Amino acid sequence: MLFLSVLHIETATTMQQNLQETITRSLEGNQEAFRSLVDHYQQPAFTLAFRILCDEEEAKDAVQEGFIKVWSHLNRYDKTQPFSSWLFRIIANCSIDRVRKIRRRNEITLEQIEITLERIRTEDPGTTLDNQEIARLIRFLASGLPEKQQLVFILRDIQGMDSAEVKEVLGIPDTLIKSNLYHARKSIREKLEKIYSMERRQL
Amino acid sequence: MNPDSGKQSGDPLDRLCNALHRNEPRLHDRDVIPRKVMETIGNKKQAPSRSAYIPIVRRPVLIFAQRLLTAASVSLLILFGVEQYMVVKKVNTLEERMASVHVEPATNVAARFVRSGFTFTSLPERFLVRKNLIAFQRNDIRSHLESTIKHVQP
Repeated sequence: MLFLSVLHIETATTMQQNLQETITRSLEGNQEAFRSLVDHYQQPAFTLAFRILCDEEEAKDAVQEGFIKVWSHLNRYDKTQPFSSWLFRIIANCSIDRVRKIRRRNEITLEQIEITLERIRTEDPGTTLDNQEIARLIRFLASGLPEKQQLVFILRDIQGMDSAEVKEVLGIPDTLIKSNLYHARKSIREKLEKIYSMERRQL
Repeated sequence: MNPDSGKQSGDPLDRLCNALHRNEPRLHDRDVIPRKVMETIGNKKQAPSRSAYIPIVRRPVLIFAQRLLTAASVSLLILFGVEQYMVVKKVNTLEERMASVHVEPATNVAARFVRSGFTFTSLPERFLVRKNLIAFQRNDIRSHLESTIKHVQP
């Protein structure tokens, strides 16, 4: 058991070292190294972009745009900071720029939302949702909220960023983050309460 | 609420957020993004600019130079400040001394001439003008007095 945990720690350390080496080689202009960085970070970058944009194609485009920006601004990367934070900040900003441009069609039906909510409520904690369900649910929760509240809610409560990270991405002070989050949660709770009370009445 | 906690609280919003945090959207085709990114980078032929990159070896030198320049600018500011203070102090002392010295009227006149920019060569001419002016004023006063006296006397 001890041997296994030591092996696990060693593997993690080696992976971290390899990643650091890849970042250093990318910073030196090595395209192959940069490709492996894209391979490594594309999934978490896509997750972040998807949660902001709620659209698979748009999220892919935002991730692509973000990586291209990263490549062309590699000289601005501060080596003392984690690479992932810098990358996610760029991806988040690309996604936010896109979310402001796109016009969404309101194609979510209450029925679909109710089904997803029911699944989450009744099934075990390990319930898996597909991309469409995730997108529908986030869009439903965030719809009707002002843009800042939507973004703060998505980044803090769904993406799980801490206040400092949200502050860096959105460029707003802590107090504003807290108040936006408070109002967003309040509105969403009210929305959920309406749905649940409707369900109770139907029953 | 912390989505990382993984706890299932009674709050429906917390449950939803936890579920959404746990369920990451899946990227199905993992080759598309790297391929497109590399194509764009290759097409642009845009190598990262190394101009702003400073090798680690040179960094201490740069930091030293930066600090040296900062120290120099601060020293200059202090120097100018002290100099300014000294000048103001000297001017004040001079003014105090000047005020304490008793000045003769003639000296005063001479000082006024000097301040007005008169040269010594122009002095006689200036005096002449002044003299004529005074004479004119005296004559004027005298004629006024005479006319008054005439009026008063029956």
